[in-house]
Amino acid sequence: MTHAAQAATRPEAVKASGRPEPTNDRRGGKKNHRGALTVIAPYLFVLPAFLVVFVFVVLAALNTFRLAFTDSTLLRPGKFVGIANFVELFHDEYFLTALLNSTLYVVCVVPFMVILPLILANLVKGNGRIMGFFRTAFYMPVVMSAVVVGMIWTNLLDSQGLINSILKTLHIVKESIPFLTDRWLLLFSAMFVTIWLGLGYYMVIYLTALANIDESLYEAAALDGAGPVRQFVSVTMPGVRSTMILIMMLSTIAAFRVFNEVYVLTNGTAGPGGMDMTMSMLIKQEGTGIQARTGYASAISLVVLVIVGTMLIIQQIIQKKTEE
Amino acid sequence: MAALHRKRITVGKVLQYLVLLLVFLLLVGPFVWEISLSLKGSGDNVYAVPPYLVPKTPTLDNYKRVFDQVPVFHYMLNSLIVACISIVGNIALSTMAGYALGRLKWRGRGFVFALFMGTMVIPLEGVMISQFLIIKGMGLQNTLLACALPGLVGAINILLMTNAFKSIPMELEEAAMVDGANLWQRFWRICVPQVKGTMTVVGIFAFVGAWNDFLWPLIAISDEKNYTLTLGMNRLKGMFIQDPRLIAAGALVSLIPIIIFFCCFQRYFFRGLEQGGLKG
Amino acid sequence: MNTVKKIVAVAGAAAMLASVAACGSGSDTAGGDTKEISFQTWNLKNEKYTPYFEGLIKEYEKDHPDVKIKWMDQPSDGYEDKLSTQAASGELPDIVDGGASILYSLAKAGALLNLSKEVPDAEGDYYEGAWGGATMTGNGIEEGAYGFPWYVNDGPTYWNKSLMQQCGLDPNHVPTTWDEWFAAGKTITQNCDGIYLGTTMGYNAEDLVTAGATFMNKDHSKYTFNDEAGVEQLEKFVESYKEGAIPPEALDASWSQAGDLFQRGNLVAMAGSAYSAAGFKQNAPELYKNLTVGPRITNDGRSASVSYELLGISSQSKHPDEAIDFARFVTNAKNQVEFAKQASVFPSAKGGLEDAYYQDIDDSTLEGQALKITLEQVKTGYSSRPAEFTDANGYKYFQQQIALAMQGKQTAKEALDKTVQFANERLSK
Repeated sequence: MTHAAQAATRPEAVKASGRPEPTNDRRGGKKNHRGALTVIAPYLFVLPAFLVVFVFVVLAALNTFRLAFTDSTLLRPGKFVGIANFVELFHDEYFLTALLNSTLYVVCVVPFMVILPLILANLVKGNGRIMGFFRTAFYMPVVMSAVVVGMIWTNLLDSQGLINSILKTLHIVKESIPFLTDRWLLLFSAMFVTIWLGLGYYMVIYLTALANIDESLYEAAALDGAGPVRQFVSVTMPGVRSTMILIMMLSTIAAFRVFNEVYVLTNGTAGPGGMDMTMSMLIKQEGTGIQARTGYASAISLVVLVIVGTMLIIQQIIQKKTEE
Repeated sequence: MAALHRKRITVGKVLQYLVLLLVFLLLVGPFVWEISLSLKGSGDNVYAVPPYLVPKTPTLDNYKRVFDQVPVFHYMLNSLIVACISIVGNIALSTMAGYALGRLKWRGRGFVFALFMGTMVIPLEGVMISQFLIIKGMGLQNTLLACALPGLVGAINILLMTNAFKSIPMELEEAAMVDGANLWQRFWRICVPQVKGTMTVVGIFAFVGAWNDFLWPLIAISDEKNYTLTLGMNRLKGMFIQDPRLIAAGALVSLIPIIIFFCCFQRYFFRGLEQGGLKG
Repeated sequence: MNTVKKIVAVAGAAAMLASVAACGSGSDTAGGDTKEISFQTWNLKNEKYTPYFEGLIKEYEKDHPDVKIKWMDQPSDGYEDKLSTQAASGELPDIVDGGASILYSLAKAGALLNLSKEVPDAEGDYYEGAWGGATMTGNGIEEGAYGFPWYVNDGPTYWNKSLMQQCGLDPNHVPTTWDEWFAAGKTITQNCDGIYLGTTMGYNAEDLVTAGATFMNKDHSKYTFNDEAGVEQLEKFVESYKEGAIPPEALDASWSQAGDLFQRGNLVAMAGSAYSAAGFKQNAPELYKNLTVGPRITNDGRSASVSYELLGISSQSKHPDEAIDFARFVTNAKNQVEFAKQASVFPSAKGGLEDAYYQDIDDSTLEGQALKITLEQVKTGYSSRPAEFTDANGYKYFQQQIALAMQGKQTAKEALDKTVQFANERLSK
């Protein structure tokens, strides 16, 4: 393909990205039998993935739905108890704490997850060897095991840790900052680790989106006298708009369900007094182990499903509104 | 004017590299610490304050012990098989589903899309035992296939592919349609080449996910000869006494394939449009 | 070009699936008249212990040609998750290795055999305390032992001599009672900055029981650790925390974290196991030279932190008699002593502690001293954490409430009262 041809198709491409009209090729002179095939074709395309998801997730989840209204434990099938589990939930101090913490997590983490990896992706795009090296390096935290991540960050953050030692030597603080033992600081520390881990992950997703933005748009903007920042705002951001929305959704789900970061920073205790409990930790605490209260844990799962679903719908609505 | 222009670029470049180096330190520093730990010998105090990076008694002995205690290559092969099934499955299934969801119009599309989204929200801890019962019902427990099956369709991957297909300009397909290309030809020759970059990302996500997974293989596999590498490496944690150096060496050994895989494929993130284009 | 790639990809995938499927179906158990017993241990298959278990199995199979032992060993992490799945899917191995609370959870669900009923004569083979540690009762559980006592664990208190000196304590005179312990905490906080006494703070049943609290009533129907002695002891810990003798990280520290702090030289003392000495030698060689050991802190001289590893027998076992027989073989005095020697743990079978090995411990090394002190503790000590006080049914809640008391968000009494109420509710379910 020549560069001219590329440039010719691109401006529309950028405009069209985001919400192209779905097509259905029944228009145009097609033979009849092919028409029938075309009608079922989408189903054939989606069927394999649907089957796997249906068998391994939907079936299992339906079971969760049923259990949520019983008092089952793992090894003892329970009886139907109506909404008793949900009533208990709203009297469970840990559930309310978890709800607050997980919601805060979404509010604080998602904006960073949408913006920072995009900036990082912009800095490492390109085909050179050096950039390839940085891309690989930045992905490293993602592939590290949670245990290693926890070990490293607890060593950095605890009251005798590296960060406190530096702050004390520089006389910035007198007493150690309780990163891991104060309820709120611990939550913020966990958020920091989440962002640290997510940078490389979302950077990779942004990179593919950046590849779809035509260079000529940058050149045109540069000719208009736009500096790097203006180019970022007027070319990059619109070009990756649909990816930003995607990452907003992905990181919302991930943030509300945060587990590993809090778990490893607190050695699984959910913080002093369990005040840093999150929804997934509560599900793990109640729903696993030999004495698991599967009924109760299923009820929590259901609440998580409803809340995250609502969050996503709200995001969709806002997105539609801003497009108009 | 030209000189000024060049100079501005240089300042920008310097700034860019400074930021990159800073992020590099922040993201890769801990990894360097792991390497240092794995090279420390018996003369090194692992818990020294302040901690030091260069081993006083450097040794490769920890790596030797990893290979002595764990049949690394056997388990690595198992992990590779699981990872390959997962990569092939995820790329194939989510590319197809993504095409249908992102570019075709059909009844029930919204519902199926919501269903895939929903699976991301379901906490896995809660459904794991049900999943095992399903696997057992299929007679697949204790097979490597069982390790890969539940992760064969990542909802995230379907979303990524859907999104990627959505952003292909309509004109490409319309031109092909005028030429009389049928649906499959348009999918395979026009659209798929456009999303190769995203397919690579899906492959990498699938690889990393399958490679690092611990809990599900633990539950699905009961026979040691079918252990994956993460299961095998967990043995390095002693029941009574732990040696952090050994654990670090084990962790690094199991990271090597991921790093190689990533190094090989990361450049494809940028190939998408240039490579495929309109040649179909 | 594309077609070739496609064919390769499809063929590759197919070949992989085929090989995997073949692999799976090939591993069926051999039929015939040999009885296969599955024996599951927890994280004991490694260069150090594998030869022991292989020898054990070989010896048994030689004497019992009709029995085949299938040794399964589960990795360190996720053991309870694995067990839950096994139990829920009816695949619990014939013999399961686990601590008292794991076996309690299984027994309560009817997954284990009541050994007191199955083999009444077994009781005489084990030390009384050990059999008691395996015996469960109350709340819908038929009274009896649900596991054969296996190895026993306990340990001394390790003391960092150079820190003791530096902070005004006499290294030749380590504290042994709670009064001495709290006094040591005061001395340290007066003389040193950034150095803590230890992470002990009432997070374990023994921390209260050794000061005179009663954890549970006799018939195991109610928890009682919010008694006067319990509350008073927790108040002392709260006081000690406020003075700065306990590091804030201890509030959410697991045991391994305490080890990290100790090995980094932030703690003067740590309650460890007998085998910890070898770990210090390996990971913190300089610290190792500065260590001394003393007994666990108690008011009555009896350790309350003895813990028993048990071997339970699945109630679904197809060959319960053989399973029981093999489990008794593993836990007999001779085989236990041999394992205990290798792992620096202790035997629970009667006569095991009279073995020549324990009569003549070389206490010129720290390892020897640790072993000697622990030996005395194991002889007179007991387990203070009831089997039913599982993570889910109170232990975790207990720690959370105590942490809140430490931070001054509630009083010691409130913390214990709340926990007792919570645990009693769970108990009656």
